Amino acid sequence: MDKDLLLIENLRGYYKGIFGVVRAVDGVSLRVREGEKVGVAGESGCGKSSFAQLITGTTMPLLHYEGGAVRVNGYDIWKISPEVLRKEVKCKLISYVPQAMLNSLNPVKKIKEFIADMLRERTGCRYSVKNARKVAAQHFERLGLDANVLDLYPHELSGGMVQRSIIAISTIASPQLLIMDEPTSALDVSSQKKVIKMMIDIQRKGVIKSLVCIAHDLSALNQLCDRIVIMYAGKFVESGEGDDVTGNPLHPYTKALMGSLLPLEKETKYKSLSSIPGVVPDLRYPSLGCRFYDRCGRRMKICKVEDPPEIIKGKRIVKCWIYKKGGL
Amino acid sequence: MSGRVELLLKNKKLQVYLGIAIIIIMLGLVGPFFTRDPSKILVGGIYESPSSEFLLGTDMAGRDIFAQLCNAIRDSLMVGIIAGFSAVGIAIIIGGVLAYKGGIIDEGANVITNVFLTLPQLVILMVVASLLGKRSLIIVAILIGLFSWPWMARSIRSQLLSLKERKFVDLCRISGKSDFVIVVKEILPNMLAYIFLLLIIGISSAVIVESGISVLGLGPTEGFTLGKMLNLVIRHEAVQQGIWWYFIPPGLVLVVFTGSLLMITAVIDDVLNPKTREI
Amino acid sequence: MGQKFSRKSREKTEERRENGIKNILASNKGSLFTKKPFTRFITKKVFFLLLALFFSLTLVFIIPYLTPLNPLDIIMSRLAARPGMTTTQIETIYERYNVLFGLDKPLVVQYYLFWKRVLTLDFGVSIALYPNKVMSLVLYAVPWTLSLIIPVWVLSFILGNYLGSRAAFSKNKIVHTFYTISVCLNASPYYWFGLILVYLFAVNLRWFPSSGAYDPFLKVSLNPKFLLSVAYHYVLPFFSLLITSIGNWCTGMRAMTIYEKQSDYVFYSRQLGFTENRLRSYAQRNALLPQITGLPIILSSLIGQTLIVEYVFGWPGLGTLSYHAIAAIDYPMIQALFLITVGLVLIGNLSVDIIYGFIDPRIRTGYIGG
Repeated sequence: MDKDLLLIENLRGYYKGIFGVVRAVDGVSLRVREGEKVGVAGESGCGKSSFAQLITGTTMPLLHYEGGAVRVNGYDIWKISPEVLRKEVKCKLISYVPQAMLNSLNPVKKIKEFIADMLRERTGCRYSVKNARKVAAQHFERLGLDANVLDLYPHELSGGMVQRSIIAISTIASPQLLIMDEPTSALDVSSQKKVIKMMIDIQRKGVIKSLVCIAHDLSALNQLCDRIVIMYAGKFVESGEGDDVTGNPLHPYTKALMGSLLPLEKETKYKSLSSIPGVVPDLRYPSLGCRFYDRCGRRMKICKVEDPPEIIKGKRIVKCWIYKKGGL
Repeated sequence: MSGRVELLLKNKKLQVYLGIAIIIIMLGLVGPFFTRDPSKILVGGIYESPSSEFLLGTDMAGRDIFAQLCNAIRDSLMVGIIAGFSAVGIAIIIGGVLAYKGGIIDEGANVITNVFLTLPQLVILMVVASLLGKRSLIIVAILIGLFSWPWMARSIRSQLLSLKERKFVDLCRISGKSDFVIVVKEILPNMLAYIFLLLIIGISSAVIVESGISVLGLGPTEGFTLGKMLNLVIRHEAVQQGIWWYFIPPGLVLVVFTGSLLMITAVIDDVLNPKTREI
Repeated sequence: MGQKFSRKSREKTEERRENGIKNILASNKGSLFTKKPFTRFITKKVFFLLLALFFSLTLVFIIPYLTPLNPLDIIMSRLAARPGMTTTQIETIYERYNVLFGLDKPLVVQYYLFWKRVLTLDFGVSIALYPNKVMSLVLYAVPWTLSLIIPVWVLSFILGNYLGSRAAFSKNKIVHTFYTISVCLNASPYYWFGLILVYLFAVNLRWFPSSGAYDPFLKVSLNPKFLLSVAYHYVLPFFSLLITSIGNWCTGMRAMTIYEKQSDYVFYSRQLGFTENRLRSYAQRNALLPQITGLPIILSSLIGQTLIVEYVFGWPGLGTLSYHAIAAIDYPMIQALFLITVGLVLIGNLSVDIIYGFIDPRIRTGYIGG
């Protein structure tokens, strides 16, 4: 139960192109234990999706791995050969669920044909479409999806169904760790509910062991995950138990995030929303100090010049100078 | 806008291709003034091979081939340019203005474009050219332009439709200007680079088409183009007689010219359109 | 307030859509494609074909009347120039043509007669190659042209797209050299490239004949000796068309493949652990689909080039026939040739549209969005 499933140490990944070098993920560390559900939250552009790609070992063309370790079950993702990564790690140990763009599935293949391809590729055996459909139907129904979806083409499905099918496809081989990138952002509320329910189900039913969910909706993450990590400008700024972080945010950014969320309680009906002034820093030229400096309401002189340390108290970690002197 | 032009001109590849194209154009523009009269027969021997006196030798009637080439380039270019501009002009009206008006006018224009698009251009040109008695260079050029506009119109239309959705067009509509004025003054400047590309492709393809019909003897009845040179080549079986200095240059000029124009469009597209760049 | 509304209506449409999908699943189990969108698609294409045919034929009909020349006078003067024609012969032919073309009747009636000719495929007797019937001459020439154009059309598509997608995936210098050469050759006049081939292989190396379709001393039949001679003569014109047409497809396919390589489904499939080979085939397959829509346009341009190449090589297809017809201003022949040529192209286009409808599942299921 306390065994570490995923261990990330000082992971760095930069975008390199003619625009320069963008330090999208600049030294993050994370520990995910078996049976844990971790949520990673932050604004758009803070590096969450890049982080997800770096964990899986497959990045979009411009994103480059720069350093750090990502360890799963004895494998260091970035040190093993691509073939070992493909055969042993992907789908079996770590699986990835992208945001439900309608183009995430091959538009000219029926879902069952795609799954048949996938099984053939992974196992090296000849899988007929019929057999693949049997296997997939079993798995789909276990997760509460209509198996007849398998006979359709991706463009015949609605966004919510595509997302749920993708979750099902990614978990066919019962991976130990599932990484989800903004699973509900592109969906309407009722589909979101179904997806969240499915995410709870797959862990409860033992299809996966641990979950890392990346989103910007803190309240949804809180419902789903045990632990929440807040990410800003390529670094983790706070982490802790879900209710703890959302109920008692410590880092100024987290506080500002909570303040800008749409509250659903009746009493707060007339409270105005606050937004965080300023914009996300240009990560081509990150400052040496705290990256939240320009937008922080509680900044100090030292925040500008030195990167804040991580202060640990029990299960909470905060990366902020405020808590250095007196402790939490 | 001028920044982009600067960026283009600095590109090494573009400089090379542009240089090649300009050399050929110069041959056509300036050449005829410095060479002998191409129609004068027996200035040299018959089928003399290239020498320092006759850069490309002589043909079956003793005429200077290099002089012929320069004049042919000039006439071919003229046809190409007129045809290219007419095609683009028609395409702007049908694919631009009419498409902008929307509704049934756009639908009708679209249907016409699609019908014209599927018709074989060369075949129709051949038939029409054969039915006309005398064909001047300009008439041939306009004819070619008349049958080259469909694919341009289609491209312009799709570009226009995506531009039309943008906000600044709504402002123009409120201003009360006529549709034609809006298209020409507001929307076209945004598509200028694209239209320029279409023009280059139009000119290069028009030159090739003209050479095609001229080879069959259906080209201009006056003037002398590269296609007409090749027509003479075939009629007098110069290939079988191995007179390489006669049949290689006109075709080679065509290939190099259109090739360099096409490469120019490829480079422009690459530089101005970052999405197609290979990462 | 507005937010609340749109959220609710979005929910509702989502629910309706899911229910609708459940209904489709329940009712349409096992059908290959829902028939309605597909037949609608085909009907639309056939309608366009007929419209294009109608329009182009009207064009061919009208143009002679726009010129100051009277077609029949020219025909008659040509016929009169033939040795051995008596005045009575000329007069009877004149009468016959008058009846056939109805040149003494008003324009509308002539138009009607024109269509009668088109639909019965009877264009009378050729002037250039008197006394052969126009249609028999044309129909004899058709297989010769088809034998050139259809293999070139199909093969250049396959080879050109293959080269384009290889160029998108590999950095191999050889591949890129082939790619650049193909694109450059494509810019050349196809017939000129044919001349070069003739010069190299027929005149210098003497490997192949320089013109004609078969040994002139052999009779046209299906015996092996004749077919072999045809094959021997076929090589140069075929390759001069094929090599230059490959470039039509290269740039488009390369761009499309690069585009597909960066698509979401390739990224997701890679995450799922697909091999690079399979990913390549996914990208290629999806990049190929839009390329198919280019086939009709290429056919239109190819037919023009083929006609000229035929003339250059003396290949007895529609091209050489057109040349003779045009040189002699043989109106009936020109009209018939035009009808057949345009008809062939339009039928080719329609076949491509039908095939595309079968291949792209989005058309089959009526997906109209883009």
